[in-house]
Amino acid sequence: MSALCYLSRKQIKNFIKELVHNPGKLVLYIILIAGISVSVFSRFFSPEDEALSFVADISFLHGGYIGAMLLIALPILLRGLKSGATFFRLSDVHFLFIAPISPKLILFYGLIKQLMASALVTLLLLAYSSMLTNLFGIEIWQIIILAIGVAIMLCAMQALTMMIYSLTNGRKKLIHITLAIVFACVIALLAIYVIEFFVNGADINSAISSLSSSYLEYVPIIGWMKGAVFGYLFGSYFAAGIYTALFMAVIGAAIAIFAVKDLDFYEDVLQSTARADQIRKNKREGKMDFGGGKVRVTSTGIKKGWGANVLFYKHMLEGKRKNRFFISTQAVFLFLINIIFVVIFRISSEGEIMPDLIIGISAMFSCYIQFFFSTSGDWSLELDKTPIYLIPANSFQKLIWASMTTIIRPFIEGIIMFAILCAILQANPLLAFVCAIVYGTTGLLYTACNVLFQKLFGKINSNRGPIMFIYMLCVFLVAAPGIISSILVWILASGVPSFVIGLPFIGWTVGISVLIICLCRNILDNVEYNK
Amino acid sequence: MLEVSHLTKIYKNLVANGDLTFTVSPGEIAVLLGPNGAGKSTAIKCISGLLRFQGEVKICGYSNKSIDAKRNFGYIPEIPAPYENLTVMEHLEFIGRAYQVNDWEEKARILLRRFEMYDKTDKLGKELSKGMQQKLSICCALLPEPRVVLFDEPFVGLDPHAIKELKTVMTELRYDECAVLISTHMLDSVEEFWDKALIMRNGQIAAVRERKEIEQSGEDLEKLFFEITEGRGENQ
Repeated sequence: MSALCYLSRKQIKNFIKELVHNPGKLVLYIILIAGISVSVFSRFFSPEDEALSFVADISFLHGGYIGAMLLIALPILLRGLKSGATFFRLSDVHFLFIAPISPKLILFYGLIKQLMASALVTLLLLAYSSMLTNLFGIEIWQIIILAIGVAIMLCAMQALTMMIYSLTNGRKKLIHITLAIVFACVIALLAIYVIEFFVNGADINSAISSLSSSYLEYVPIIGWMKGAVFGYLFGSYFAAGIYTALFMAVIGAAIAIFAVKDLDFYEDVLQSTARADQIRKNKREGKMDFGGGKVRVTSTGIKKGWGANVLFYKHMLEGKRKNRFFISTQAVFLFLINIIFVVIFRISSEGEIMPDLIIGISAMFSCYIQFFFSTSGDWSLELDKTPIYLIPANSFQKLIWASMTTIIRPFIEGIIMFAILCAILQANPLLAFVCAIVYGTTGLLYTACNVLFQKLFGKINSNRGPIMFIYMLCVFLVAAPGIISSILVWILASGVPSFVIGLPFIGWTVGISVLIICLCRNILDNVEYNK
Repeated sequence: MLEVSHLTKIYKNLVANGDLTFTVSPGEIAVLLGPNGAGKSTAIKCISGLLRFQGEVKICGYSNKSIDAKRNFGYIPEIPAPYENLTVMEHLEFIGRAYQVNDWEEKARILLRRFEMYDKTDKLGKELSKGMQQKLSICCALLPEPRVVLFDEPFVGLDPHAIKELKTVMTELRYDECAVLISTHMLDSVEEFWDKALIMRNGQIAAVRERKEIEQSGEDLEKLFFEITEGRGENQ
């Protein structure tokens, strides 16, 4: 036990020491904490009536939370039951598993560590607290409870999956039974919602109110956790207590069985730990290969290109293998979210909100979300490999050809997405086209900012929170004149067709992006290969 | 020909390479010897233009960052990093097209046969073992027929056949008047064919010996290596 305490103590101490020795990192963390704090406490600095001016139906929060629980639990359970789950690191495997320490203690150490890690991850959720406060009119302590629920769920699911995997010991029949139970829970969740929807009148109001149905809380694990959290949130302490007890009983029973049966879990977590470590490494390096699906090789050969432009054809081939169609998986998710959003907005507003406004909101939302997957474009990933630095061609040519797919992709995605949304909303096609171009040029701006940031500070990846935060601020500053000019057109030039509002933004983003890329034309002669 | 003059690489407060000066002539195999952390890999990365540095590096008379220099050298990194979603043959096609090698296909097939990878042409980069990745990396570097070849710890992870084949390739490169620079901490692996040994310690070249010189004086390179790396030896 003392060895594990020593290890934990030292890891925390060294983390703090590293921060002190890296003032830049420390400043970034301080800025990040300050940003989260501003978001959390902004409520206190705004007039009360203003803060509560946009209170949405709380049912959306119920539905969103249970959806989030499902999104956390289901992938962990499915992946874990197939090939094992883990909350250990490879260093734990190499040093602790072979040490003369009780496996139960090691399991306990892993659980605690995972809980802490989950809590830290969910702290980042607090950055959205001002949005939740304004949207649903809930208090800070309620948001903290929501975040704690997410942290516990994240940790509990990993522990539960690991234990189920060990208990089933790879026996297919048992795994199938467990999977059947998991799917039964998901089907129960959907069935309850559908039944509630029809019972309550099968209209838009019932669609919304059914999201907060208390029957949904009867569904094991996911429903119980949601029931417990919302019970504490809104003063139903008895229900909250029961759901907490049920949840703890299942997790506790799993741990107890695990401990009593004295299972040898080392072998079960070995492979999954190695895989998780590789995924973490890939994330750290900004790679998109997270150990996921198999790549199908149907036809081979790059077939085109001579000199620097072969980078483009190579990216096209890789893109085809990764996504089959040119569109990225993230963009497909964004399409779906947008379609759901647009349909809900259309129905719930009952024609009161103009389609042009809905498609405009959708364009802004999509541009914001696009930021989070813009750091892992082909251009950025190419910098992880040596050939781009070594190919005997002009740096500017290499930069252009290596970033071509990253630049083109958002335009294609934008045109497909906004054509679909335009058809659903029956909006002005010209406006939809402008929205698609806004989405595309935003992608261009993100690529240009990425190039600039790489030149100034080295590689950015989405796993380095504080740097990502600063990067986001910088991108926002670069985009600000375009956003402001579009807002000014909207405010000052009343009566102009709505598509005109997007034009100043397009003009600015294209201009500034081209300027940045031209200024960074020698990047490959100056940037260091930092792998 | 490779000419390195006053190459210095500084990371914050750490001098990774301090004032390195040496040349590798055509038809010469030079080895950068030294323990872990001596600065060998950093030097190779600076020479290949992957890291910024102070000083001057010329490859076939051109500055190492120039397009002409890039056309003339090949670099085999210590840790191979193939493209996950490209097949073995596509890696060679990519290099062939990027370096504008006219008959890349024929040359690629010869290299793949030589390194016993011909049956793996349709394997993806991520499906290859580390040794296979290393062999692929060597094939890619040799495809454009460079005049200067930089090997960074090339023998790590290779099977005995590949080591034997690589040694043969290295001596053939010398025969073809290429300048070869190999960084390694394994003295035994280069014992048979080195022409010039540059022994590094703490980021600096502590001693330089030519094979002829050692053969004439009867000096023991291994002994010298340990004397230097254990802090008892000379400085050049």
